[in-house]
Amino acid sequence: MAMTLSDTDRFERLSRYLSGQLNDADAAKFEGDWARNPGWTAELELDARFQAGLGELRRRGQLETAMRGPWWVKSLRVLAMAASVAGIGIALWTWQLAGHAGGLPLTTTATLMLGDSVAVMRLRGASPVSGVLELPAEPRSIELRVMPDVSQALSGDAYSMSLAATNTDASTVASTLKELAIGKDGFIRAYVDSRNLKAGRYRITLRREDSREADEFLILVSSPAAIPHAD
Amino acid sequence: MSARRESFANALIRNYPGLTTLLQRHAGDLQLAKDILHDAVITTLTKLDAGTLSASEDIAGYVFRTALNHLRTHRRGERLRIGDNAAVDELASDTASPEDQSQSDANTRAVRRVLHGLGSLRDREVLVRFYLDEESKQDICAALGLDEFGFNRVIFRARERLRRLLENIGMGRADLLTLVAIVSLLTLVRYS
Repeated sequence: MAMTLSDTDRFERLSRYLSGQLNDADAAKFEGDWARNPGWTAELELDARFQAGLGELRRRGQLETAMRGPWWVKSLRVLAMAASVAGIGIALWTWQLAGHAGGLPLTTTATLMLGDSVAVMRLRGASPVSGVLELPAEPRSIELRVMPDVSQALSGDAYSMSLAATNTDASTVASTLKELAIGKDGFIRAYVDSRNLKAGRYRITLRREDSREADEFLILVSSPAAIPHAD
Repeated sequence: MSARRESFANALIRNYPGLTTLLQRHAGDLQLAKDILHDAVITTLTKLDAGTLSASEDIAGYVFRTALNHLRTHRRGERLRIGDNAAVDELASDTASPEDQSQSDANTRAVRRVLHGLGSLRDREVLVRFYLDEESKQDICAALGLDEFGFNRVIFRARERLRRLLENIGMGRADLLTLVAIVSLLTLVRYS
């Protein structure tokens, strides 16, 4: 569900109404609008439950703990920092050994003439390959349209996306495109220069920016179709 | 009012746990909150009987509005003005029934999960300041260095997550469906 301006205005009026901050005239106007929009009752009840839950946490003396976030986050941060330091070391070592093996640069717009558009999505019970791409004969920008796990996705969420060959160590993937939004069709879009791709398997990693969990999709890239020569 | 209608009124009240707590928060007493809500249901039934309220209208919303109006009247009459929300939150809900308590616990767990699911302390603070301390959007944005879009985004996402969690534990849409069923039954009871 997309957030609209009318939604956000309503949240505030709704909250001010609930807390008795509207004057009589504004409260009456709000009630008139409410009578014409029966769906607001559920929204008001939801807000009231939010207040109730927060109030109960405060009453039980648990609000401060809840405000600090889950207990494992701090431990995780320490581990993540340690892992980052180790990761950087390994990445530098790998870089020296094998050249730049990190992720492929993605862009939010096509930098070349647009080539194929690949829809990448999880298909229930199907093969592990979520998308197939045939390389163009000429350099093109390839559009990657990736559908996040719909059960977790919210239209207002921001995502990051990276692309790397499957034989690349995930920790070495340096180029990640951030703050990507879900389009109206449910897909998140990014573009890659076809010159950076070779035939093989690639992994797209999609991560909601406020989450630790990531969706991984496998795509298969094949060589350009052989063009028959006229003898 | 017949015992049958009384039981319907009580069933209707159980579908407003959020409103009940809100009334308690502002009236300062759970029993008083239930009385206010009960009065609102009775007012609604009376209007339905008198034909001044159509069964096709938003009955749930009407009960909600009437309850809040009763609360305002009560606050004016009693000159009861609660200025310190933290003090109100200290009021123990010892008189809550086991069913109320269980519902409250589930709701509190859901809200805690929403808080934990937020990416930053600042986002959690937005929620507490907005919903619990009832600060204005402008004040919160100024204090936390947020723009209006960022503020709206936090509120929107938190509400959506709470809605989902409540639906998952059967406290969301299911309640409202029950409410629709009860309202339908109430209209039948009018003629019994």
